[in-house]
Amino acid sequence: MTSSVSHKGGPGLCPGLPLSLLMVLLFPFAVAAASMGPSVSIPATDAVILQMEESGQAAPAQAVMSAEDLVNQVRIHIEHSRATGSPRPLGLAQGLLERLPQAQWTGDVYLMRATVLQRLHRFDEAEADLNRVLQQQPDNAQAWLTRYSIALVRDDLETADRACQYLRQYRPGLLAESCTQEVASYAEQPEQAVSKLSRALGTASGAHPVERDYALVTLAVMASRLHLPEAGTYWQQSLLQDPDDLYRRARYADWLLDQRDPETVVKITQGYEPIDTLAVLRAIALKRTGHPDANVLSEDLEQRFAEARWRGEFLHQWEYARFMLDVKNEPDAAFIAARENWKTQRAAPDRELLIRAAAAAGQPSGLNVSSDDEDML
Amino acid sequence: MSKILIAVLFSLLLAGGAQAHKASDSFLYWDDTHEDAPGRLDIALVDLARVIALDGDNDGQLLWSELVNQRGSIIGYLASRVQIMSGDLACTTSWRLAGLSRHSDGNYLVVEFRPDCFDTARAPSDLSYNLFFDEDPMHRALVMTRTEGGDRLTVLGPDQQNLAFMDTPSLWQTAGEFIWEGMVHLWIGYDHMLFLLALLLPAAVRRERGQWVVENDLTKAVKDVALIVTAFTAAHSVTLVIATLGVVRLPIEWVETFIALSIVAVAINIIWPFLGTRRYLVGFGFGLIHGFGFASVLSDFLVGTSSLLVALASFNLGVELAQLAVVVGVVPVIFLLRNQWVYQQVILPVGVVAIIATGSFWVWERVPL
Repeated sequence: MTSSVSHKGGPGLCPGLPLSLLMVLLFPFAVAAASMGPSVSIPATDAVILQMEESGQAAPAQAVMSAEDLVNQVRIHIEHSRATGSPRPLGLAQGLLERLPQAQWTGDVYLMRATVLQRLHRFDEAEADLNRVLQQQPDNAQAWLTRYSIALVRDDLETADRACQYLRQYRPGLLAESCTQEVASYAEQPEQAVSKLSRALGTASGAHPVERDYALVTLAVMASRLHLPEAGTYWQQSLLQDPDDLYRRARYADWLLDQRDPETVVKITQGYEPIDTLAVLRAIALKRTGHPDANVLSEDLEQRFAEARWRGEFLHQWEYARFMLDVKNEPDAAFIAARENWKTQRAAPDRELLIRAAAAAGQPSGLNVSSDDEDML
Repeated sequence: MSKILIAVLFSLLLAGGAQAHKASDSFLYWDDTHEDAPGRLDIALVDLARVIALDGDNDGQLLWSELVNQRGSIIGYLASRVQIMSGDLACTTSWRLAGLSRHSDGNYLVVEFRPDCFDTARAPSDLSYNLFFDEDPMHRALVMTRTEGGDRLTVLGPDQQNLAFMDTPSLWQTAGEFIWEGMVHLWIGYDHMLFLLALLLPAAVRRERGQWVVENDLTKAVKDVALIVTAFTAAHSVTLVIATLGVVRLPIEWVETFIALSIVAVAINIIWPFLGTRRYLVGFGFGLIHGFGFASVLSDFLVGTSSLLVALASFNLGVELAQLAVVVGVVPVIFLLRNQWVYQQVILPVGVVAIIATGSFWVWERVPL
């Protein structure tokens, strides 16, 4: 998590007095700091201003890297981004990828770039890279799974189904069963698909832990979408299995809000304020519980969204729409953002948010998301 | 395989996404009215720590004192990658660490800067920004420029590294503006007009050996005028250029006084040609001092202009165009009137006296003694 300024030394050190004198000597113009931007302060000399691990290490600028080393480095950045929820390491990953001469690009390099692009919601470019991977390695299960996930987020069941069949062909097992049942859950008798996957998970004790974990999260996702009561148990179990995973924490919190349990949300989102998704869900929970910190977090989020809009590449439409709808009570703005989000992201949470925002904003056209998308957009 | 799977699986599952904070941004503020430090740059410590070894004792915790110790490296890095230009010229920029600020994703180092071209005639026109792009093509500088009309927001990235401080006028706009200023200055700066008039009057009726001589050869008259105007133009162009470029600088009070004196001298020369009859030489000689006068006016307009040469050439062109208009307006009239009694006996003598009187008054008014 992001550190604020903290003191390394004990309170008895009282570093303030000689320091201010030092600062006047070192920074004679500090008072004249431009009035624009956040306020400027001069920390104490022994103040810890950054935990170095947050920075991550970029490879030396001129280092020549093999494709294999590069894939490993990029993977570290992707993992760092996943663990912290920060897109910053994805930029470093892109910087690394740009360094590799085109002639040295392997299927794995393309796969890494597809993953980076996917996380940045640049799905078309990610798809193009996946095509390259699959041309070279038609049996690359990882690439099929990536294609499956993108298709599902884009609500393209046909492509998802096809990718899942290839996955089943090249890597049969619990992973393939997960996607098969998930696709089936969009058809008739969705609850049957849930119980089938649940049974498969129960009997596949020899499966790789990652596959078991994937099956559990898929179950939670399916049960949430179908509003089944066991969704809570699945989320709880999956969070216990990997408490550091931000995605399942956010989805669980969202589910709890839906179940009118903001108190638990306040608990499980504590300390996760730097993550926008969790911060928005927390802000909703704080508001619903009448928590005294509600306004502080809300103001902080407003600053974050303002900075994101200033930057122009706005990845946080879902979070922003949620914030405007459930914290700020501005359904019109929420509807606009939810509609923008829907252009690229069409999974269940995106659909539900759009329907709610449309209803709140009195936009009946927005309610027909499943029947006629194009008209609405 | 499974390692990669772990890395990728759940990032792909993301539907609404657990996106956190933001990608790498710097914040760049520019406020002209803040003369002490018009620029402020907020750089994320996480970004800075990647390119400069800040953690002196390598204990994984960065202290403020450790950062201050690296002040030289930080400023060196910034100075090499953030350039402020005034047109084609690079401005030397002074940087200073101002402290820390907090943005939505953590602590930022605040650096204030002031380009040395800030208070000279040439205002900073552009800033080029190239921090962190090598390592992170997603890095952006979010720029806020404060102007009278309000705050303007822009974004700099690897494909757009240049910030124009003002809406820099195009070369054509600059040229048009300075041509107009040159013309206006000749017309409303009566001293140059009067001088030119005094030089032109004898083209139709001149004094030779105590006699008024009427010029009846139109071709000769036109040639005479053309020669005088060309000589005057050539002379003041030379001094306008060398004065504007700062090669030679003369005290403006004396320049102005001398211009007034030149008017008196040329007017007296009509009746009593003590300077000789080759008036183009007179025009050239005095033209040199008039150029310094033009230069002092031009320098007032140059503040905020980055295209100096275009401005200079256009201003001069404007002066010439205005001169030409005067010639075209005056010469046919005096040529048509040259044989009239009223012109020879009233208009010319009264005009000459009026010019001498005005010129003398200006000399008295301007002389810095």
